Amino acid sequence: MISFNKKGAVFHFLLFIVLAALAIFFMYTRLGVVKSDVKGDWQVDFLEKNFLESQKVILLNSQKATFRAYNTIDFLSQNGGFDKKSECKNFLDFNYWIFNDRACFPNALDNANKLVRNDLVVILNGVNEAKFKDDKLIVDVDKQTIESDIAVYTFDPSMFLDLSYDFMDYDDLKIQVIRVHKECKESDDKVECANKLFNNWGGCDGQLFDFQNEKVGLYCVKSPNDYYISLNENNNVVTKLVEYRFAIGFDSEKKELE
Amino acid sequence: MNKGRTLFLNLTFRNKKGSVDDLLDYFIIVFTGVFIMFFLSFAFTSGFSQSKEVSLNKFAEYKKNDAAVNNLRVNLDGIIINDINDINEKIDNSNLVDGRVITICSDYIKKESCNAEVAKVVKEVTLGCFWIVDECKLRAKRAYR
Repeated sequence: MISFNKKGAVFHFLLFIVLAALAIFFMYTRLGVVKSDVKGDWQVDFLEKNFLESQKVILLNSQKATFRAYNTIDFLSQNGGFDKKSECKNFLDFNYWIFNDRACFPNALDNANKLVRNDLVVILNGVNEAKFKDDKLIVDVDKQTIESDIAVYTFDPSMFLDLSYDFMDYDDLKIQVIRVHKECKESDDKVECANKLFNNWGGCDGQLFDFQNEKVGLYCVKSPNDYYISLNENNNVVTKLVEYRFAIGFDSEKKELE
Repeated sequence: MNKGRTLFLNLTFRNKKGSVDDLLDYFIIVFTGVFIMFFLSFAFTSGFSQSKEVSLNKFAEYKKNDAAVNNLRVNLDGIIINDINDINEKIDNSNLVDGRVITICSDYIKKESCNAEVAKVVKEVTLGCFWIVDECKLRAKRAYR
């Protein structure tokens, strides 16, 4: 007669226990009591809740910085590149670039850097430095942190914005203004002379040259390099050609430009 | 009885008491192993396919939102954004047209889609999109280059 060996019976039951455990686990999983994380879920959540949010912050900051930069460019061009009155003073709010044969050309780039930095420090958090370089605006900003329910993400919101505007416009104008001054200071009809020389550059609404008296010329010259800027006017974007307003004093005495 | 036959019987049926147990153990182990393999295979396969579906759906949503942010970024000086809510609103209003995410008017690349404003991204009733030369612009009082 064949009989069972009861010594190893406990191992048989262990196998059934394992099977029962698997069955229970399977059942609870199907019922949704036991939930396992979906693979890749955290990564996509991180992209959505942290990375994308950081991109929104950078986008918002970039837009604010871009419009501030264009405002600065517009403000300076309307003031002949000065952030305050020219050393040679002004005439009817037109800053002199040349007065009594003294050159008072602005350092527009330095003025712009100063203005834009002061503006951005106020409207953005953690701005360390802001400066124009070539046709770009570079803004160095402290790192920021975005916290979500799944992660803490630290990112660098510094910006490198393409403005498609270069302050070399002022250098081109300076060369032209010196030429106009030199060639027209002794001319009998300074209006006609300057009109002729500035004609290639156009003028504000066709009014290129407005002579207040015989010695002062007020100029409103459009960007020699056709630079356009976009301004936020009452929540509407207005794109316009940059125009520079400045004055040139024609002294009657014959002197070389200082 | 010869020597060889005695050795054979000793090796096979000498301890008959445990032989059925051993056989039963063997079958149970094989049966359990196969069951576990089936279970694991099913669990992993269903888990992966579920993960794939969920991840792809969520990633598709992320990709759309990311494309919308990029659309806004390339039109930085053509739109007004006052705060993050403005960005979220524009992202939410974005729609896929011709395989391209449309967030603002200038994202349209086809004249017909632009003029019909098929993505319905402009919420103001009085405004819309219109095609000028090679670009789609917002129908509003604006100066252009």
